[in-house]
Amino acid sequence: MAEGPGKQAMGYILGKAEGEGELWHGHVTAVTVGPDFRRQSLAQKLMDILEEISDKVHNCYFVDLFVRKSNSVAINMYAKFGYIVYRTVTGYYSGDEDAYDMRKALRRDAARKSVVPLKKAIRPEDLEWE
Amino acid sequence: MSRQLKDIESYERKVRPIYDALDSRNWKGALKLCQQALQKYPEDQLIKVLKAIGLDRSGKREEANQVVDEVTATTPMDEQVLRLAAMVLRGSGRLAAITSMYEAAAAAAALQGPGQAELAQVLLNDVFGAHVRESNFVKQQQVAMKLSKASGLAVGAAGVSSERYSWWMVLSLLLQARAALRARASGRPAPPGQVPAVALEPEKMLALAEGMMSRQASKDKKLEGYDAFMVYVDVLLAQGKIAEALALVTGPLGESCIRLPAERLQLRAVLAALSGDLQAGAEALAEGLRLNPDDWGALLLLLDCLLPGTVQMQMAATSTGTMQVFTPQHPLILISGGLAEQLPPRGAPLPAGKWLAGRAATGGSGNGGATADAFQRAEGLLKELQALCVQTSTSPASGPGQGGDGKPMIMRGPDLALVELALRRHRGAAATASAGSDTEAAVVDAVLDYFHKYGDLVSCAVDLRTYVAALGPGASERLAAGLAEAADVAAGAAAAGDKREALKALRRQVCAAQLRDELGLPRLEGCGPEAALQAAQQFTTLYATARPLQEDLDSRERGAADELPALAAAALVSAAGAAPSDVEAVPYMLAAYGTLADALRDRPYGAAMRIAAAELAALLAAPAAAAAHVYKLDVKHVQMDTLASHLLLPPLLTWPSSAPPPPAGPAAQNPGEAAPAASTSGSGGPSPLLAKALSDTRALFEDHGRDAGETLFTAYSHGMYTKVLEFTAFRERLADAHTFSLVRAEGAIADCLLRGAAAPGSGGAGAAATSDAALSADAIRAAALAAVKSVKATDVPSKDSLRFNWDLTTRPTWSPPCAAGPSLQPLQWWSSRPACARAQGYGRRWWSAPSSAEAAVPEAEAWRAAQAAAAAHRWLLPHCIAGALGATGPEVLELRETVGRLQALLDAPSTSVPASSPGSAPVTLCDERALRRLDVQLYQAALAVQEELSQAAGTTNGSDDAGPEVSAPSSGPALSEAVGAIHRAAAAATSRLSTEAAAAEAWGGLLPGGNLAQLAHLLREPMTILAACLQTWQATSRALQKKRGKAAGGQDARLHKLAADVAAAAEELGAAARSCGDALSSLKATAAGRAASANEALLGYLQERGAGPFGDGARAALAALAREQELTLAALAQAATAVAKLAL
Repeated sequence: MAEGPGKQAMGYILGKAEGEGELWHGHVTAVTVGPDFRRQSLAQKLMDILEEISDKVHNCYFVDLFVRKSNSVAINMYAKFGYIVYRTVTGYYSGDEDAYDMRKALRRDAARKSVVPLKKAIRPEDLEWE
Repeated sequence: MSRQLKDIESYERKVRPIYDALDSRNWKGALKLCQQALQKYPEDQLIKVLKAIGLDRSGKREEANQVVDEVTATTPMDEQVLRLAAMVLRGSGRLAAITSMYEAAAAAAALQGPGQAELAQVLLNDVFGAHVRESNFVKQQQVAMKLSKASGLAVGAAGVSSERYSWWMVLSLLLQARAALRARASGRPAPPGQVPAVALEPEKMLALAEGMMSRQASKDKKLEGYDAFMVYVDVLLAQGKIAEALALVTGPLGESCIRLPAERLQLRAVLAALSGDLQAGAEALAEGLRLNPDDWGALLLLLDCLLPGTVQMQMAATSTGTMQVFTPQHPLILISGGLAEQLPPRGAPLPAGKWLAGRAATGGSGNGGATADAFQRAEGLLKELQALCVQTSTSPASGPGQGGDGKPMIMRGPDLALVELALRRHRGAAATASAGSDTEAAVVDAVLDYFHKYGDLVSCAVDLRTYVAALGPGASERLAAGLAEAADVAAGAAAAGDKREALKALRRQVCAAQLRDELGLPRLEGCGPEAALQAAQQFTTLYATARPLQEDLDSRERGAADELPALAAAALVSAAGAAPSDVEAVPYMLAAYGTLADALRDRPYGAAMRIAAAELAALLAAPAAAAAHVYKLDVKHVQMDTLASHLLLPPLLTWPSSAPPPPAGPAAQNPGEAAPAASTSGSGGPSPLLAKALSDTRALFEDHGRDAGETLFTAYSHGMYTKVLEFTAFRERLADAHTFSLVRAEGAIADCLLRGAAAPGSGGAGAAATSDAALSADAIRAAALAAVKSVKATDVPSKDSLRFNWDLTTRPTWSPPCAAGPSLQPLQWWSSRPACARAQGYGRRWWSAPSSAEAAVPEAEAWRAAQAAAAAHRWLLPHCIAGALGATGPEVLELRETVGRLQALLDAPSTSVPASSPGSAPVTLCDERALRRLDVQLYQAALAVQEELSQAAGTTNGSDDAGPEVSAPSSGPALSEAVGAIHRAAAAATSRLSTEAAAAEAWGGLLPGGNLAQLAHLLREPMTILAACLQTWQATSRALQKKRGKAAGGQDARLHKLAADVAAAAEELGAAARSCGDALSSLKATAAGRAASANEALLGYLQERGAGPFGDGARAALAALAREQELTLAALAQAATAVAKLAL
């Protein structure tokens, strides 16, 4: 939670560490910035914190997140932060819309094996961790 | 293939498709498959519980529970069977049944000897989870101890290590300590199972927990991880052992458990400050800030440490009197949901030397406790950090200020801290009474500096709000002039620059406008409507310039000037506040509504605009429009408590409406622009909107109460111990929520009145109410008898038992939180309109700060006391209604006691903030206290009549010896007084309404909401209840007269008199209701008879006076508002007719 000068909630990030073996990773469940505090890199600061915790505290291989395929603003933002579209998950959002699974490799994945994009889309029930 | 294997395969073939059907939500198919499978395996537990799941999901909850009970009676031990059975039981809120199911299973497994030891351990693990669900901290601890002993060193069968089990014990103990502390603070006993049967001092429990943790730490030379470490620190803090906590953090355990150096550094700094070593705290903070200069919390704490005398002080009561203590607020400490907060000593006494030296130097009156040197040091440090931000944000290497795309990151912390520093210096100077104009001028300069740098950020005005609010009139003028100048420069630049630059310049202008409004400039109050109209005009003109710049902006994104329409509307409402009468206020409010509606066409998700529009619709008797605006905000989950409750409940509880709930979220295209269709059901019919709001809100609390156990158990299982404490505190907070009390009370009242009771979950009397339910005394009595079950007499809410979660900051400046409960909120606004409708200087309102509802300021305390009293009154009403109608039952409070309690609530010293300002228009409307007094009067009269009737019944039953010495006093005067008071209140409102209607013709007839709200309340509650009572009493006295006539062969004069009194009261009430009904019907007919051109007349009227121009959005919204007000009039007229019918 990022608290503003008047103790306002400026934004928050919610995540977890999960997976097994080389799939041990940090997952961004949600990242939100309040309308009053947009356009000042707050999302990036929050993502940096999550990446640092995934890297230093949990020693993860990568960080991943899901985003609506239609949300081009968010996709471009994550791309700017170094995330690539790893794969597509069809019908992830209540069957209405596909998701992109976006990933960014951390130091532990020196060979960057976790971020080689998959060509084939997968279905939500085939996800490893949910 | 062996026979056995074949059997397994055949079984699998039966079961697999059931799972598939359930997965694809095909409940019917699943049930059919279960039925088939049960024919082959009639006793199979798994198939049975799968069937139960199918039944539960298809809404057959009772049948599902029956099946589960059948299965659990056979003591199943299969984990999957138990898990599925638990799902059904949890859905029905049968948490205790889950616990006994797992206890039985674990005991059965344990009896099977070592062969089943692993299963027994797994099941015992689930028993622990079951106690967690039930918040039984004592049993939790006992089970954790068993688990810990049984699991040995390795990871146990349930995947949990022995070490973790011992942490479960520690946490169970801590939660008991916390429950004991809460019980001690509130004076109410802890809920069962939360504290040990043999009382143990909470301090002792904390010491025990600490002992367990320290043994673990010294034995293994390590702790399980971050969460374990933080709980250890917290327990030390709770016991005031700050030095020990600091040693722990700086020692090897701190290093191994807190892996992020920056976090360790911060914790060290906070603990050093807490222990009173401010210098060490400041040094550590500065070290951390050099790595991350944009940490606002750390910056504030740094200033606190460097300038201890400028800390906003908290006084702590100690045994030796009050002491000034410094309690740094930081997310890294006090994590336990109120554990550490409840134990003195909290915080550190301010270092006497420094503090006193500062005071002595300035003659003892205090200069903020800091010397000029200290200020200079602080300023130097902030400037160093400021420079660091600039440097790192422009250097090519990646640093703290470097964005991922190479653009500099915005780091406004140190810049804003300089404004903070200027204000602290000014406060210090003001405290010494040494002329503060220089220091105040420095604040103005600092604010302007910040504005020059960040004026194009949306957050700029929010960032500066508290500083701007602290300025006096002269400084405000200077700042406003400075801002105006800067905005003019920006406007010039906007004309010249490209689109991007133009947007930035526009942002500056908007920010300047917001800040001027915060300053209360240009002054609108006392300046007549022209000033307000002009101000509104300026806001809308500037808003119009934004449109071409953001044509491709997504409708959900924040627009560059979205604040302006709300400011324009606010300015117009302040003109409404200054209007000499309620009716003359209406056109300004309509102009405000139209302005918002036009802007909402472009920016449909502008929250401030939606909220303002909803509040206006609520005040103008248009509940469906108000609800539509609120639902467009896509309010859900916890927002049902923080937001929806104070925006949605007031209009829906005040105004009758038969409109269906609007579609939520994006589906609603232009909410508030379509009027609901005319009501087809009677006035006694349900209100779907109200029913939905009440049941959705209840669902939040009830679902969370049911499901929180799962999240908590997960936190235990994963070793997230701080989350266990946090989630527990959250669960308790929601269970105690003020809103939860309100919706239970209002649900019960709605049930009694057969309104809004048809929706499932709105209360116990759902069955009694259908849309056709006739309003009759019998129906109301039966409904009340059922409704009291959800408002138990033992749980009457009080100020100390409630948590106030409303996000008051979302309220428009002109709609302050009022003392009345939600059912009388619009009425209260109208009755103190001039005081409420002041639209400027939001930052100076007590409720503009986050979490203000629970703030420790006198206004907040008064507000909470008033809300609690109102909630308690509402909670008791269903008991009154049941009692007055002669319903008796184990759950119904005796009428005498209830009336006494209502009276006591009223007698409690009024702490409500006086709302009306001197020189305001004469208050003619009833306020909340007057209406509550009316209730007391009504139920006192009911009590008197009942007593007289029962005495008459006694004598009629042949015991004439009862004699006149115990004779109840005649109820006649009380009754006629109550009827008279109600009659007068209704007649006064009706007559004022007619006068208002005549005046309102000038703008097409739309009426103010005050008198309407008063009538709505009277008709909905006291008049309906009184009519029902009178009906009952007439029937009773007739029966008695008949009986007596037969028994004694003559008439009893007393009984005769009573019957006559009741009949006269019924006559008077009936006449009052009829006259209300006639007036309302005629108003409705006039409204309906108005040509469609009425809307044009309204727009013309407004524009003539300088409001507008208005577009299609305003046209549609205002027309819909007028139509909905007409529906409200019709519904009220119907209600009046129904009361008259009931009375006579």
